[in-house]
Amino acid sequence: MRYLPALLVGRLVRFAVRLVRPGGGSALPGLVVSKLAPNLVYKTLNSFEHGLVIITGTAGKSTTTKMVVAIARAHGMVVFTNPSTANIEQGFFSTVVRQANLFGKVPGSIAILEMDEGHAASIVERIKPKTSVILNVFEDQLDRFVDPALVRDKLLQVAKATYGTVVLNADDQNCLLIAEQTHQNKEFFGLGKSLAKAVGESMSYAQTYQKEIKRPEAATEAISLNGRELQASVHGREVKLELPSRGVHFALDALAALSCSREILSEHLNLALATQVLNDLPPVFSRGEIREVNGEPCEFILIQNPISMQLNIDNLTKDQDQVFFAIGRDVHDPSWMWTVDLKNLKSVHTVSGFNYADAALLLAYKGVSALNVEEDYFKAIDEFFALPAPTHGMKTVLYSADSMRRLRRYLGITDPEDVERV
Amino acid sequence: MSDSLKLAVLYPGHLNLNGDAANFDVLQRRLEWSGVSSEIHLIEKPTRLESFDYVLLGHGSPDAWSQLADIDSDLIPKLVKLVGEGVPVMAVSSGYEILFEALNGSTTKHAERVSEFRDSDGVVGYVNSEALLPEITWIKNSLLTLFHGPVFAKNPELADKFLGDVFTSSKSSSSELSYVNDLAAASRRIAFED
Repeated sequence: MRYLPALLVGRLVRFAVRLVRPGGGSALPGLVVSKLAPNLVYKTLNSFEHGLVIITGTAGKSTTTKMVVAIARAHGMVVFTNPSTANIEQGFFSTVVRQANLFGKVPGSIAILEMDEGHAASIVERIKPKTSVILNVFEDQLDRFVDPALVRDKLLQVAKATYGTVVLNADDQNCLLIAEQTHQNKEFFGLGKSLAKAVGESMSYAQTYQKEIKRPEAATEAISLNGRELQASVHGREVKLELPSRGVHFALDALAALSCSREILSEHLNLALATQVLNDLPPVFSRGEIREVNGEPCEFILIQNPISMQLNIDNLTKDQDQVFFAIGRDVHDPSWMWTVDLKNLKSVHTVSGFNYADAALLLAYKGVSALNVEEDYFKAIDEFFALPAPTHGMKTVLYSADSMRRLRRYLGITDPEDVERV
Repeated sequence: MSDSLKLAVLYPGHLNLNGDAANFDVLQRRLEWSGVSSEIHLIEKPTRLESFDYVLLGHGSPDAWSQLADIDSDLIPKLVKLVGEGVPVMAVSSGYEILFEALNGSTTKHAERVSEFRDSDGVVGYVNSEALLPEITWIKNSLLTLFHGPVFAKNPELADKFLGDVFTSSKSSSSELSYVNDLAAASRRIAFED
């Protein structure tokens, strides 16, 4: 009963936040409980019968975690996991507050958690994963991380803290450097050679500026990728599946998820079942999510860093004539946007968000036309969704996290699980 | 023989961590809107630099600089010579630090890292550095700055000063320039909004 007072206070805070802001409140309860009972989350996370799985790296954490969780659940495992918006220490506390009984126990025999790469090193000082998945290192949030090599060092600490198997991306030299410095059991996933070559330019992992390490054999590897159709080999067995959204990054997420699931379930992994799960899985919200607004389909795409902006723009269908581009205040230093090649973005209809001026400057200097540059964000949203249906493609919203939250609240989309597969 | 101005971006594979190379995209577009043609050359191997009208040395990570020293050991002495001859060289953040030390024979002092927008006499830019250096230093026609990323987009007057006579003598009253100059003013204001 030692955690009872802290848990009660945490739940009260969560209730109060949700009264004020429906759909919000993932961080504050965790902050409060982390002060009142700092050991609670670590004790909980170290107590699962089948251990803890950590999924981390710059990009693809949310989608990969969602895939692994769904596969494990389909195999009958009771899984404790965190929402994608709660992947730092306070978020873990919030998740525990929401799901724990009054003794601090959460349901589940295994924990599968997405973890922010910046917080990972300090968190694994106190919790030891049985399996860790290190997806990649891209240039991201340099105002915070300064140098991708420092992110790689943090992920190395996760690998070293793992007592079972480290699952790594065979195509990313950063992961191979991490692999060289760890003695743990290692499993690799990746694109096949020809596919890696075909998409090499857009999948530009952070450069290591060190002698190239020979790519190891990947036990889970793509054979072909055609739109959303992925054919892959998992420990010598072929699978075919349909990804929740198009794009090579989703293929890599699926390969990582299959590789991780193989580690968790070993010979009990039913590949036909896992494939079916991935075929049915809706996208994580705003990662290629399509939903109706005003009776018309609209695609919502989250831009988080140079690589997600690059891949998502590369994946836009041609002749897109109604793109909404909103960069919010979460983009503290918008410099990174200028490293992205915009050749596949012919025009933008509406530019808005807190950083609308930087976004519009980027488009102007890169030769992308912008019809409506609107400082007032809610006015921009109203005007965009009042437009008649586009002549090509569908309405497409490209937005950063802050702009995403504001737009979704404004449109009344508050449940992150409320995403359907199209 | 082309009449276009020649803009050199040095080692963008190593020295474009924060999008510094985009500064020369901004210059090219401003020149184009003023009726002046230019071409950008991305330099990725040791090259004679005398034929270029403008040269950019961006910011890179310690590992990137370390590898670059093996690829082109003569790079910094070549730039010191260009700066001395009055060729406009833009050097950003770690590029600034390294070139400044070579020009002055000095060693830069460091303090706690700064990661924020700063205003230097009306020029606004993002600093993410430990170097104790002025945000902006002009040496002859060369601009050394701690402001990384597309500082020319945010500060068109700085861009036009760097371009020098070429720009001021051209017809520079296009509607495109007015449009981006207004956006730049908004961008500088927003940088300091909470």
